[in-house]
Order: sequence, then structure tokens, then C-alpha cells
Amino acid sequence: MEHSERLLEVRGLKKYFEKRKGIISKKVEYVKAVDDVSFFINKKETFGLVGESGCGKSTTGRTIIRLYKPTDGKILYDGEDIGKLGEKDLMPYRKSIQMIFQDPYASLNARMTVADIIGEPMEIHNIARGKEREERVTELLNLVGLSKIHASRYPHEFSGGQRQRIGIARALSVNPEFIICDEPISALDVSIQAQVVNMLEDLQESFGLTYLFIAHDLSMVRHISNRIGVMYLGNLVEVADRNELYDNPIHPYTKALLSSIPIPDPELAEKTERIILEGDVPSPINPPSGCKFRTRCKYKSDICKETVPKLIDVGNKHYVACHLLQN
Amino acid sequence: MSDILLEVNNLETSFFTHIGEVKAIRNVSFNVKSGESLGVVGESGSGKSVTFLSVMRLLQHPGKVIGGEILFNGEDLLKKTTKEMRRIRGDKISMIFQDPMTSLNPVYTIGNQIVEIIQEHNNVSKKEAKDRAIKMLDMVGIPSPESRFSNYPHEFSGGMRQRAMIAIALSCYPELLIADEPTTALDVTIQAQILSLIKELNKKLNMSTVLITHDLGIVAKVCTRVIVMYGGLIMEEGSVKDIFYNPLHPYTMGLLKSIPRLSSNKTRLVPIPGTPPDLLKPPKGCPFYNRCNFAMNICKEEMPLYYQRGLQKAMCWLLDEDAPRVEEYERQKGGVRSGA
Repeated sequence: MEHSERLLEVRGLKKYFEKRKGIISKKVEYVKAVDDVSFFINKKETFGLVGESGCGKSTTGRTIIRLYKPTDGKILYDGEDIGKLGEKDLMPYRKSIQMIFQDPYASLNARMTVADIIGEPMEIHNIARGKEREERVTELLNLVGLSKIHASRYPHEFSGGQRQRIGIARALSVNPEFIICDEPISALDVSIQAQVVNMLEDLQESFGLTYLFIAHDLSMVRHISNRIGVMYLGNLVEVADRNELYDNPIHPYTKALLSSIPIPDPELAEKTERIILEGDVPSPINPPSGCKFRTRCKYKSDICKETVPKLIDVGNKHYVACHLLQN
Repeated sequence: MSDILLEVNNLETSFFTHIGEVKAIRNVSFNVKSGESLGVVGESGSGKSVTFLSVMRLLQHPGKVIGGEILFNGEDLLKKTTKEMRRIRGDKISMIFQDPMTSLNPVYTIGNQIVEIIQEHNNVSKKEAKDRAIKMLDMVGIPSPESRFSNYPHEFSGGMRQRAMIAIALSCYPELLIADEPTTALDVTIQAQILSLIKELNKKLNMSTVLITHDLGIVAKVCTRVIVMYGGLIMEEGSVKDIFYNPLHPYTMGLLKSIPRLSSNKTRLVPIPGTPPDLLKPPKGCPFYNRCNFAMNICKEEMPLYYQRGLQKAMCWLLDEDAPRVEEYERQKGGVRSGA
């Protein structure tokens, strides 16, 4: 599974949302959703991004696909910085980067038939029209485990799992090379989740796709990813290969996060000691200075208050942002 | 430990919608022993929430209990008047819901909402009720409860709101706490906090807890006994260890196989093919028939019986003496049928 060619590299990515206070007041606050994040994704690999709600993982994904304009930083796709491109110049990238959304109920237009939902992107990108489009739609439906008879139906006639399949078919319709999966399975039932995950793996295999897999279900992320990044309040705190991260977590937050996964095995669950974090995630409007995790960290010292820790290579392709490592 | 607190016999609940009768619960029987922690697992639409809303008599129109009995301490809750039910709810049986954001009243302070329920059920002065409310907030781990007492729900975070909900639910020391997906809306680190709190309080107050969830990991951590529901029926019932290490029903086996294990080797997940049945037209036989790898002809035609194996029971024809053994079946087929 060694691919060293980079498809995407994010350098110092920042996305701040403006929040105006009062009715006419000019005071502007910033929600620092993504605050200086850097990572890369190799060709044909799956990079998992995990963290709690509000940590900026979805915003990172949405900024990469340029649904948002980054506040600062570079998004290098195949060496080209797409962070500052205008809509027109972005067109070819819209084709190569696609997205699968969390909520299969909200992400399909209820007034369009399945054939139109899957077919529209092909027309926009001049891939296929008319009869050819029809054939491709059938082909795509078969690919995701649906059939031709479904093409003329509307989204409300499908179950959640089937809708997610339609969303996947739509993403595949323009032959992308990179797909951002933003919590693609969290709205689905347990028995359906495995169906969709297996399908994503099969598609990756047959089309050589690269995935950015965003989720909060840590066991599923471990299952599907090659490498994983852990985010906390807009920062990447740890990046490593999947097994390295789960077997040898270093950052105190990663440790706590991993130990709070409910283990579906009663004897093992009894044996494992849980690290229970105190308190809640602070607001991203006024995040703590220095290391953002220090307010919930057991090992905090003075330096954590003053300086933001940088990601440090600890060997074995494992990167951690924590001051503990320097002592 | 073995005396029965809640006994549900042949419960049937339907929703009378404009497109027809949806048989959400079709003949469900189980019991909750005092002091135990029972887990109820199932997919959405399996009837797990509706079962306990029926127990609480909180079903909204067009839902209606159409048969069976619900014995709580030997008395049938279905025969109680609305007024009598109000006295039981909150005092003897409490329920916490999935979404802490919408279950609290936004225009009253947290303290007010706890005091209200204490005064409703106990003949105490306002001062005493307030002291007890602060004690409850302290017990569920809310820092500086005296000042938090006069906060409004919007001033609390998600995890703290769920703690406040638990404080309200426990304020009259109920004998039974029903928690319906109490952590689904919360993050994992907060989930860990809430679950250990529920587990700790279950021991400390010796109350029975029912934990409704779709997450098998939560069940493994918190519960002692488990009910697995599917298509409005109980498919399997047993101790946590029986269910996880020796499941009898193919649906339970399927559920356990479809979740990723935290192991380092990358194995393929084994999904359950197909989708759950439509309860507008429930199948004549086993509801799991069309998704089951071991389905036989009889499964389609006749509803399976319950087969008892020690303390564990399951509703499946495979457990019949005349049926082929599942283990052999698996060996012959070389594992489970793949893919959807």
C-alpha cells in the first residue's frame, strides 16, 4: 500500500468565519473553524479526518473542494494552488474533486428524478448527453447496486442507504479522481453502514480513487483509512498511519478520544481503562491561547499557555503537536 | 436481584396513519428486574423507542396500544387514568430522551425545571426542593451547582444539558430509568462521561435502567442483559456475554459482523444485505426472512417460535430440533453470502 505520489497537499490552511456582533456595531469576531492546518494525501490512499463536532473537520473538507474560500494558506492539487482560483478556472477541478455528503435526505434534490440527479453533472461538464447520458446513468446505477428501473423515480421513494448510493453515483458520474466523503455513513443504520463502506472500498479499488474520509466514528475510520489525522478545535494535533495511531497514540487528546470508543466486546470493555476527559470543547470564537487542548489536558504546563505546539515528526511517519514531546 | 419490576406481556402498538395501520410493535413480551441494566438494541424503525413510549403511555396520536399488558410493580399501567399516570411518571419511572437540546424548556431556568418536578411529586417546601435540586445537579457532575441553578438551558453545553436532563429524571429517585439514545447527539468524549455517570448512578441508587441504543459498543460497556429488536419483534434476549459471544439469531450475528473490530489487520466488513421490512405490510413469517443467509421455506410462511437456551432465548426456526445447525450451514457455505 505504498504510494508516495502526492495528490493533494494543504499548507497552513485557515478558514475564519466572520461574526458581526450587535445590530449596527462594527465589532467583528472571528470563528476560527480551521486554524493553520497542514497535511497531504497520497494518490489512491484514504486519509481519515476525525474529531468531535465543531473541530473543523467538515470545514476543512468544504474548503478543499472550494465550497468556501480559504482565509489563508495553500491548497495544492496535483501541484496547482486551487485556493485562490476563480470559478471559471476551478471548473476542471470541480470535475476531478467530488463530494459525498452526510445527510442523504438533504443532499438530493427532491424535485429531480434519479436520472437527472446523476445525469446533470455530466451535462455541465460536457461528458455525455441524450442517449449516451442515459446509458451512463444505467451503468452508474448498476455500479452502486441499483438498477435501471430506479432511474425514473424520485428521492423520496428510496431508503437512506439507497439514497446514499445515489449520492455516490452522482459523485462518480464525472469520473473524479478524488472524493471527499463527509460523514457518509453516520446517518445510516448499523446494518446498512457496512454495505456502503464495502462499496466505497470496491470503487476505490476499481477506479483508483483517492478519498478524504471525514467522520467521528473512530472504529469505522480505522477500518477504511490508510492514514488518519486527528483534529481539535481547528488544529491538527496528530497524524499517523492507522495502526500506528491506534496502537501508539501520543497526544493526550488522541489517547482520550480513542479510549472513549465504546468497544463492542463486553469482556474487553471491562478490562480497558477509560480516560474520561473533563469539561467540554471551548468555543472556537475565543479559543484558549497556546495549545487549544490545555483547558482539558491533565499534563498542561506553563509553556502550553504561551506557545502553539507545532507538528513534530516522531518517526515512523507519525506527527504530533504537543509540548510534552520536547521535555 | 431477581424480583421483577416491569413486566410487559404481548404488547401490541400500531400507528393508524392515512395510508394504513403501521404495526410498530407486534406482540412483545419482556421484563426488567430491579437493579438491572437492560440494553435494547435495534435499527431505526425496529420499535425500540415505541415500546418504551408505550410503557410510559406517552404515545402521540396516531399511535395506540392495541393489546397486551404492562405490569409495573404488579399493576397494569394501561389501566391507569391519565392523572394516575402523571403521578407515576417522573416519580416511579423516568425517561431521558435523545436530544437534550429540545427536551428542556428554554424559557425556564434549569433549577426551576428540577424544582417543579420535585414539588409535583413530594410535599416539600420550596427551600427544601431547591436544596435537593442543587444536590442533584452536584450528583450529575455539574460544576458550581449553586450558580448553575439559575442558568437557562441555552447557557449549558450539550453534555451539560444531558446531565441536567438526568438530574431532572433522577430528582425523585425513580425505580426505573428509561434512557432513549441518551448519547446519540453527543460527542464521543462527552458520551463516555454520560455513560459512566448512568452506570455509576445505576449502582449507587439501585435503580433499574433501560438503555435504548443502536450502538452495540455502548451496550457492551453499560448493560447486563440485552434485548435485540427487529421489525417490531424481539428477536433475541440474553445476558450481554451470551449475546456478544454466543448469539443465537442470525440477525444478531449479522449485526455483530457488520461492525468494524478494533483490530490491526484490515478485514472486510460483512454487511447484512437488503433493508428492513415495511411494517405497513409486515411479512407473514419471520421479518428477517428476506435478509437472512439461513432462511428456509418455513421462515417465509410461519412466524418462528421462541426457543429457550438457558437464560437466553431467540425467535428463529433454526433453533428447532429439526432444523439444520447454523454452524454446519456456515461451514458448508464457506462463510456468509457476500455483498448486497
